[in-house]
Amino acid sequence: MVAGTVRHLYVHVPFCRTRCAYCDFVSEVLRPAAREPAAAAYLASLREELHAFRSLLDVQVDTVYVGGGTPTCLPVGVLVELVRMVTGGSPAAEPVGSGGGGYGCVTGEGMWPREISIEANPESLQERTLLRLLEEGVTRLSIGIQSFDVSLRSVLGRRVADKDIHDACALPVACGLENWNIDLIFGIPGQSWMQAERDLARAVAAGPAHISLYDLTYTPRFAAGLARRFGPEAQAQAQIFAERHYERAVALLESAGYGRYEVSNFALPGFECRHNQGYWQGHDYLGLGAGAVSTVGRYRWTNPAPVETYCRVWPPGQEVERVTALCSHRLRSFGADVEELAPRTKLFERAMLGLRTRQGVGRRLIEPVLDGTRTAILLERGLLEERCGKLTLSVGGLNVVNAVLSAILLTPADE
Amino acid sequence: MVSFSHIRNFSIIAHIDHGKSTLADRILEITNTVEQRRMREQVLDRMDLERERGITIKAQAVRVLHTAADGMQYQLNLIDTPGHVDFNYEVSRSLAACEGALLVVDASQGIEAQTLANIYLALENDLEIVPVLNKIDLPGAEPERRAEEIMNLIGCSRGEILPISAKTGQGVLEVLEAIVVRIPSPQGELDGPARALIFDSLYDQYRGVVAFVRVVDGTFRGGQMIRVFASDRRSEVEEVGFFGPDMRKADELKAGEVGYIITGIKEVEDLRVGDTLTDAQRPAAEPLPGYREAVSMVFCGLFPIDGEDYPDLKDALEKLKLNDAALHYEPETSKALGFGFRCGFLGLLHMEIIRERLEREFGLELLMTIPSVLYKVVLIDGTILPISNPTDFPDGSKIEEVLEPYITAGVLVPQEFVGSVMELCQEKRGVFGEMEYLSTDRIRLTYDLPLAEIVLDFFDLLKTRTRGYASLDYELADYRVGDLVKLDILIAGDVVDALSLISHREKAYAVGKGLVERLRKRIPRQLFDVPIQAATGSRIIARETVKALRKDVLAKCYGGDISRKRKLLEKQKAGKRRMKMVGTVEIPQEAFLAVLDLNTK
Repeated sequence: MVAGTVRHLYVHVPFCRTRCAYCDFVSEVLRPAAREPAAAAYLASLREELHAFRSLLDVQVDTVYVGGGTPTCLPVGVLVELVRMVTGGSPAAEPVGSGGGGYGCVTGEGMWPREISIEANPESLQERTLLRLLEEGVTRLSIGIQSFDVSLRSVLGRRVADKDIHDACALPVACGLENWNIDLIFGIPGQSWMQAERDLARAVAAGPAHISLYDLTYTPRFAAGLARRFGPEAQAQAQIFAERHYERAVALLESAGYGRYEVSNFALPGFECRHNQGYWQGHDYLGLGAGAVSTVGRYRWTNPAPVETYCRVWPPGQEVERVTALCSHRLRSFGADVEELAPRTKLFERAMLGLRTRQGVGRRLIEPVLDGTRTAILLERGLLEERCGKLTLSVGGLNVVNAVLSAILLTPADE
Repeated sequence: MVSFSHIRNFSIIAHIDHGKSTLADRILEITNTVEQRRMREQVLDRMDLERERGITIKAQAVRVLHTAADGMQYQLNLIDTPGHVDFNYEVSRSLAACEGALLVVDASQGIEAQTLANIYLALENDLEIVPVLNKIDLPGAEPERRAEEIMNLIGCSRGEILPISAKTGQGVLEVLEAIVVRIPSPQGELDGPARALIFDSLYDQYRGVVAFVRVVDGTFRGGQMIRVFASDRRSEVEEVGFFGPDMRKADELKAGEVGYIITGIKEVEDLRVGDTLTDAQRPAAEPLPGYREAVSMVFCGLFPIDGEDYPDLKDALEKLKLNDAALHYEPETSKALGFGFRCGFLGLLHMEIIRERLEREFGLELLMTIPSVLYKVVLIDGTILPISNPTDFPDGSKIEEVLEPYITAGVLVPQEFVGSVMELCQEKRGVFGEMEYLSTDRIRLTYDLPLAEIVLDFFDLLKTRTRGYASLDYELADYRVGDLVKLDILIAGDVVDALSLISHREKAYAVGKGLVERLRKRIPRQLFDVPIQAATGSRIIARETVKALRKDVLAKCYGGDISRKRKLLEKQKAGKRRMKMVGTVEIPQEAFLAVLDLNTK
């Protein structure tokens, strides 16, 4: 039995125009001709899935995050439909009333999501799309820039023209959107500090309310490709560079007024991403779409992928059996990969996620998974801080969050 | 005194691989002691380790019956001896049980240092030596040259040297004949008070201690009350018998004979090699000469890599000790390595063998600390402290002087390598003794060397620098004053007890620097700088720093990443559990292993 209300909704759009070398999200490249029908079919399945879960769970959407893949590579009409599906209609327009389970009418303030984020790639973001989305109530945009330097983008396998980048960055302001984000990757092989500094400066100059600065993750596929193209030393050299300059990059963003509220996330005051904070505070969340992950109560499940498989599980027009209980058996019947989280595991994750944030996590809460001796050593060394019963990582601590967590957290095997 | 004319007791002296075990196998075959179908190689070496390394660790004995050319049947007792210098004392006891020895020399390689040491032992025991040139059928054989070496050494004539091939059996019958003709028969008092020399023992888990003996006077039989001289232990004999080569029960063991006595004693400690057995009711006045306690020369700490294996290590040591009175151990606690044992060994090979048996026969994963020797530290107030564990080394201000054990080493080496060997011995603080020509191209060098230097890496260096041609034997010489200091390794300011060692003052810097460098390479970076220092007393002589990690982030951690990140952390944690926490620093076991092995770079 899963209890409680789910307030965070993630919708996965598993389509891209091209695949990027460093990315390992579920995504498929669609031929232009296949785009319309494939997108429509996928949307239909999303509807079915949401409908089914609305009957199983109390879904009161507070935040929505539409991620990918590349959501903006969907046809505008489909994208608008997708947003309407989760909001139940336009805030300004008449109630659509087509949603199932008695939901879907705009019945009051509380029902309307406080935040609707959508991801975009510079090359697929068009002004009319953005304007339509804003009309539909989208409140936040995240643009995956990765680097302003064309040569570094090419190392990542991102083929985007400088002009597209430039235009995309000008768009939110032109459309009157203040709450938007730039994704940057730090430590791209071949990057010099000059280039890194310029990336950061250009991001800041574009004036987003939020910047995510990601340390490059080396997936096996990316690492292999890199070694082939730039030699076996490229990765190690990039990692040495990243380690040497990471602290400076972080400091640069903070001095520009972007507060680091999570290891990789920086925002002007009041523009922290509400949806992602939900993850880090251990809230339940429902993920829709191929390969999407949900966590509700003690269940975590991963939806089937690829798209074809997912769509087979959720064919349109299917009458969903009315049951009120969510159980692993039921989830598996949706083709999901189910993991049951023990209370200790939940606590471990709570600590692992909470400590990534500026807010930290209540010490009392996570005490059972804390190694007291090592915690004391790291507090003394200034990597950890304890204030008003909350445990947080210091600036230096956040830069080595991984090592700190593996030092102070107890896994079941440690007992 | 009577002579037992139908008995011959002899042993075989040979270098590893010169064919001792093969010759023994042939003798057993020719005399039909072992049935053809039960014959296998190295019949006498019982332990797997012995077979594998081609060495004999425990002495063995076998009785064969041989009808000689004169038509008489003779009882020949072959006592197989350990060939290694570590077991020198056991060799000497085995030889003391014989009247003669076969000297087996490889016709292509010639006499090696350890063989030479054993020849001297045999000569000291007044043994008749029957020289044998083995492997004469091999292409590289140089029988003339090797024969000359032997003649120079033991002063025999060319005709006395028997050419054989133990492998094919060629000449082996002549060897048996020579044993009968040339080796004297044993002598003793048949009716006198019973006396027997214990040349080895074996622990049987059901029957207790089995003594391998040479009866010198009188008779031993089942039910008889016996006494062990040195330990003054009394017991009733359960059974006597001989080796054929398995244990065969007999009614009695008479003067001149070799066999076993199941003593009824349960503790191997009470029955040491070299001791004398006598009749408790009618005891001999004097024990047989030559008994001495087994002395540990090399020491090290043995720690289980997994702390939970400690009880298993304890059991395993107890079991090995049952069969090996020369093994000493006592519990030791290390701050860095936890619970373990400080062990004493006869020598390096003994140490290696024990470690290998613990790992192989008992499935233990062990960490061995740097081997040490027994120092005598003279304090200012005149007291003398025996120190075998660097951790116990007293503060420099209290020390008047430190004495360290020296050995006299004999190195046999082809002439072309004499220079390299001398150089090596100088480096190892050796004092030149003498140089003698064994033949025109082979030389014997003697040096007095600190045992501590031999213990570390001398063997390996000697082998490398002479391309494997040198051979070495040594015996404890005496204690001499040495300029010695304790070298400590500090990690993040804390002394790591398991890494302390005693070093010559002049070498402390180089040793310390090397250790500190190796540690830096093997200690993973931590959340803060970790200084690694080498110190003598309060003086820091070398320092390295493991720089703190500056970035270690899992960049993205959103809804879909959580399980994966958690598992990644759990995996890292699992890796941490194999580390030892020393102060605030996590040190992987591998770091200790690598550092303690001084030969690795």
